[in-house]
Amino acid sequence: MKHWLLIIILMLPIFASSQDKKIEKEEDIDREEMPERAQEFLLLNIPEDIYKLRHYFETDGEKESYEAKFKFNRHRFSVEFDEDGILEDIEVQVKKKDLKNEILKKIEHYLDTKHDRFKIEKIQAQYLSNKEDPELTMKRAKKFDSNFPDHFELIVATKNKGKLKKYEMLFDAKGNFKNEREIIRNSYDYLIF
Amino acid sequence: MTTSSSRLFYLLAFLFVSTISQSQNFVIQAEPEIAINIDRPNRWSFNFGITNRDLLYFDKTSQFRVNFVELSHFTSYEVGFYGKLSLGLRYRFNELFEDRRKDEIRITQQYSRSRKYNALKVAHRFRFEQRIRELTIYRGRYQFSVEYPLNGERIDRNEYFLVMSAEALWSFTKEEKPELGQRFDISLGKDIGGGNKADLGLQYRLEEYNLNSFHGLFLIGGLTISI
Repeated sequence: MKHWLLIIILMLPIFASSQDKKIEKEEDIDREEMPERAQEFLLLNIPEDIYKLRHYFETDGEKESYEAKFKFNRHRFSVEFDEDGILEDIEVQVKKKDLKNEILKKIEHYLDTKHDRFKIEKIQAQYLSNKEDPELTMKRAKKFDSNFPDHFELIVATKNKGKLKKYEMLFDAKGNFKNEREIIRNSYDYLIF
Repeated sequence: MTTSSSRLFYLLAFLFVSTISQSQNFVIQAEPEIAINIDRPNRWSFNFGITNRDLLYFDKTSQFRVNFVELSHFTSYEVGFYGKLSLGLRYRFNELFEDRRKDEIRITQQYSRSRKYNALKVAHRFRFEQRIRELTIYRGRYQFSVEYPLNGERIDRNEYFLVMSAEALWSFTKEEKPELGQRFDISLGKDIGGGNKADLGLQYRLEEYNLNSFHGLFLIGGLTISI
């Protein structure tokens, strides 16, 4: 028995090592760790019948933000705040069938012209809060099935000449392409090789 | 993490091992591994590994005996959006440690597929193997595995993650009856930066459960380096 206990002890330093300062970070936090303004907004504005509510802190090394994620009406909501707790946007995860047919067709037509093959992995209807009362933004987001968002944010896997790339793409409410950012893939897929 | 989650994992693992090791015909072995993964910018990737298996506990007695050392290589080619086709070759050095056992060459054909659904990553792996030794054994395997970050929705540097898997195995030869086996794994991993990962876990194996079943526990773990 002593031998395998010894092996466990010998391997523990691997887990305790690597104390380098992290640049990008996203972590679970308690609601109390959110800025007070954000806590107050959530308390007053999120619907009562939500579930799976979790809070996150995120930084890319420069910008810091806070996020509350929950499920409402079987859709995932992400409510994002800046470091002072001011609402930035609300994103609602939707399915292809939730989009108006002409908008989906326009988006797919754009993707079709730009890439050999593509797969839409995720669609989020984005409601921005920069020009309005944050309470109104939440009201719009809650009625996402009947309200036009400001943008649609898509995660799209693409294949060009056999090469796989993933992008976060932004389309306006009418399905016109706005911009994109490549998502750098984790070079090693831990589960398969 | 959640140092508390890490401590809880080790505590549960220790309790599990202590309890299960009291049963008859039970073996505890360790299988540490170091793997290097080379991911080309095109559709190809290559994996090289070295592992060994050590007997730690058998017949209610603690002991230490090296069973084998194994070198492995897999070449993989991306297919579709989430799949990979791989061809693997392993060489297991048995004779160095035990005269009556011959070395083994293993050829593996594999299809695997993994996809992330928000925080959860799900993978399926199908393998067909030819174990070339005194008697060539053919083996089909299917593994279902999930990976879950323990902090936030993605695995950042220095963060821990949990990997769990279940695998069914079916071995057959011309001369003997087919054997069925089942394995369950649970591991705690850590992203140690630069795409490199360390992990430590337990694997429970139920072997030949359709014939003369026996079971064993493997202490698994290692280091995966990405280039």
